Amino acid sequence: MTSGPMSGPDQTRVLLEAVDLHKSFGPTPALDGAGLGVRAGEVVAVMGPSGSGKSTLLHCLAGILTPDKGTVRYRDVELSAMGDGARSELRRTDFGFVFQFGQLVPELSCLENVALPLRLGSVKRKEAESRAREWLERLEVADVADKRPGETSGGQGQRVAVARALVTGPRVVFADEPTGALDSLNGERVMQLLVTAAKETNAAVVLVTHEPRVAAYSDREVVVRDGKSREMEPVT
Amino acid sequence: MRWADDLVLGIRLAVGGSRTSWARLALTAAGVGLGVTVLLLAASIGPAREAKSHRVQAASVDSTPGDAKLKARHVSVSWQGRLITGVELAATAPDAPAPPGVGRIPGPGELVVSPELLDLMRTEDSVRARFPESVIGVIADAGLPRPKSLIFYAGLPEAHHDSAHPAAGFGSGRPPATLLPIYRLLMVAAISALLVPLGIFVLVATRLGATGRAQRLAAIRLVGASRTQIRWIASGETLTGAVLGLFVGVALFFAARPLARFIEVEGVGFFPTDLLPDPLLGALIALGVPVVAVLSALLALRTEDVGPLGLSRAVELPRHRAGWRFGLIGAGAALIVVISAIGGYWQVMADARLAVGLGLGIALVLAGTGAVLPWLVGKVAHRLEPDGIAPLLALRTLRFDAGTPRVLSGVVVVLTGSLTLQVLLGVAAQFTAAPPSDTPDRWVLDLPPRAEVRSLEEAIALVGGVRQVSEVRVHPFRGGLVTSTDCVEIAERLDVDDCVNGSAYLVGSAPAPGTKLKINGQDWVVPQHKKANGDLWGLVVAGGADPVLASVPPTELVVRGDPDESFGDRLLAATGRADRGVTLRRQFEAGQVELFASLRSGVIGGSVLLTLLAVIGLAAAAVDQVWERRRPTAVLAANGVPPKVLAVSALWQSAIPAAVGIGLAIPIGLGTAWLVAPSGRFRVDWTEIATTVAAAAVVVLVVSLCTLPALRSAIRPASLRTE
Repeated sequence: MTSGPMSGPDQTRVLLEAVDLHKSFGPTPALDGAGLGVRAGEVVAVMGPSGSGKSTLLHCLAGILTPDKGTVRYRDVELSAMGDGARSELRRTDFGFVFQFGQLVPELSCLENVALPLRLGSVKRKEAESRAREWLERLEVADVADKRPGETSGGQGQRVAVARALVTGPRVVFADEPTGALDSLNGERVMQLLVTAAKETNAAVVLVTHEPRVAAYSDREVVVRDGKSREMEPVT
Repeated sequence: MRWADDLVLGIRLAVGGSRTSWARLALTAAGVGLGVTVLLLAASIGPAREAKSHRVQAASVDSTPGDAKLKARHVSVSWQGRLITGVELAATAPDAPAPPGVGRIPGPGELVVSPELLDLMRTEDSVRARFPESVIGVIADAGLPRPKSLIFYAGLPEAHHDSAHPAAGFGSGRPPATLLPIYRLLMVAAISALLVPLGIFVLVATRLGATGRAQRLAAIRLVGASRTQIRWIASGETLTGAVLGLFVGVALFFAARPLARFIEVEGVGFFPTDLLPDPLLGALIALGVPVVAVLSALLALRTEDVGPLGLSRAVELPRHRAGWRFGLIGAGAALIVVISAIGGYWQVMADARLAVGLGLGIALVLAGTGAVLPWLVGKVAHRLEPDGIAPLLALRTLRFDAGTPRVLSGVVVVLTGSLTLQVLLGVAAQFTAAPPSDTPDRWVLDLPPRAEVRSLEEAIALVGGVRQVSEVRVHPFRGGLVTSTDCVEIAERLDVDDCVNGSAYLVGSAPAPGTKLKINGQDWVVPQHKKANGDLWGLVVAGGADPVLASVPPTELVVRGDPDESFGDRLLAATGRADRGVTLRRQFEAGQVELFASLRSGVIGGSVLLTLLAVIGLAAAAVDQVWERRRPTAVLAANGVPPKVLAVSALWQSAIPAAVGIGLAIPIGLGTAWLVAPSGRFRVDWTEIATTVAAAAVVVLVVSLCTLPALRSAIRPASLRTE
């Protein structure tokens, strides 16, 4: 577990909270009063049809996008009040990301990709690569360590991405359609590994998906429709 | 040292090892390398000129009075308009020095020649016939102004000892000739015309693959790199290409240097060893190119906000402001007008500071023209609404494409500069040249001291086409000159029609008739004379039968014969057999002709080289763009747009900016030349303009052809894959 800029675990309290978020892209509204709270160690699935605003909600929660109105608080600090440097550091230390595609740097090997967030945070190369290798082994992709992402299969690539998301010991992992480009078998395996590893490190997971099969891995579900969010009954 | 780690990460990304990253790196290195080669060549011009002028100086006969050890006589031979110059030498002391590059002073009947002259003598019997001596050696590089110099050293024949002058050795202390102000003006303008497009080219080369790079940097932003870190990473990435390009450029320069020996354009050439960049300029290039590359990368990041999700979607296209672009042209034109108003054209040409100022004015106009093109292309792309799908696709792409207009800016600067320079060189030629001769059939032969006139006249009489030979004798006395020649020459040069033997005319002032003068040791009485005007000076006497004037040896023989150039060659061939010291007077001074030729060849060579660079740059930018837009292209193809339409669209994409560029370059180039040229001397070479338009069409076609393989690959269904 990292000791990021906001260390000090407290699992009963809400770790990350979005309240009454509004966000428009030009004349098109994406969020219209959406909100969400995430506690440490829990897996929250954000569901909804295409264009409902679920990815925008995830980007606002991660501090990648700034909402037009409303607040996003991470451990009692409002993200929109943070500068670019602080938010970058937050992404590096406290957050991890797994997207559908495009998040791995094609020029770097899988090992270098996983070590990248550590290297950006001034961890020495040997140590960074040693920790990266451990995570590749945990996610069963140690054999592709020296390959570039383009030389791996889709499932292997996503597992490398999961390893990279978890290597810094984040408190929250944001996963946007992590299995969207995978077949069902590979998708299942990636989800198992992601959720297991997150639980082991007590990281919360915000999981954007429109597949009920993927959402089944979550502790609870939030549905986003027309920019508004609604909590679903607990998953049994 | 956080920044150093980020810089290293950037370098690691540049040498990523994937096919795309290697291709990008190779293209950037090739582009920057070509730019560096040209810059190194430009930085070598000064030292090369200096090295050449040192060799010329070292080989010049030192005639300063003092310890004479040699007798020397300058001679020349003309062959098909080419001048072969030489020195006839005889040692008068045992320690007489040999000329540089020559082992020993050739004796009578011996000849040492330059390698080029030796080749010419071997291949052309008519040249060999001009040299009855036997060749005993070849002049080494140290004794040659340039590799293809046509020079020789011959033993001084006994018969010419009297007409030779004493010399101490070789290497006079005379400083090398400085450039006339007009050449400073032309050089400032030419260097601007060369450097501006080169800078643009280096900029374009370092920004190839910008979209891919933005995606890469976004991925790194996502995992927590700050904006500052991204700047260092991007700098490291660009720096790799630039430094590699620097090495490629240096390697290309040294690889191409030996070719200098074989290249000579219009009488200008250098030895490979002459081409060594000025140390200061070399250091400036070594530092400047990477700095420019990094600055361009940082500048790009300033306008493109790379966020964790990619290029910021909210960023509006940068507004092309027109004010400063036209401001540059306006400021340049104003500077030209103001300087022209301070002094007339001829005064400006005589004053180095005014000439440099005028050159700067031209440079500002050129820079402004280059800057206006992207703006103008943007305007055209937004205004035009064509019916055809191919031009429509091209125009829509051009709205977002900065690469093509940017490279074309370089071409437009070259074009504008070359149009301006060609007009100015035309004016310079008129300035340097003597006024056109009214009497092209009149050939003047300057005779060496104590030449054997009789045998020369006999040799001339044998040349076909000779109608008349006039002897001209000049005798100076205190306060004037007495020129004695025949009535044909006097009638022509003084424009009189009453000349008979014994007639005397006065141009300027002279002693009164009846005054006694000493001519050639004999008494001579100034005759009655009439006032006249013309291009002779002093007292001019038709002195055919005057024994005193006839005793003065002639200094010129004026031959009337055919007006064509070969007649001059034949004359010199004939007189050369009797005495190679006879020279044919020409309309240009040799040094000025060489300077003029060096500038013209510089403009032509530079334009060709930069056009080639531009073609490479345009092709690279076009292929890069097709590669980066392969997904939308694949979508278009999948939706049924025929490949032919996509190919024609690529053609339009180059053709539209090229047409706008030519439309801009021609009026601005000619307009600038019109402002600079003196009234009445402005001439437009329409053939050159037609050639330019044709060359542009070829460039567009070549660039479009280069994109075809990339286009064919892009329209494959596999390009639809996103991951």
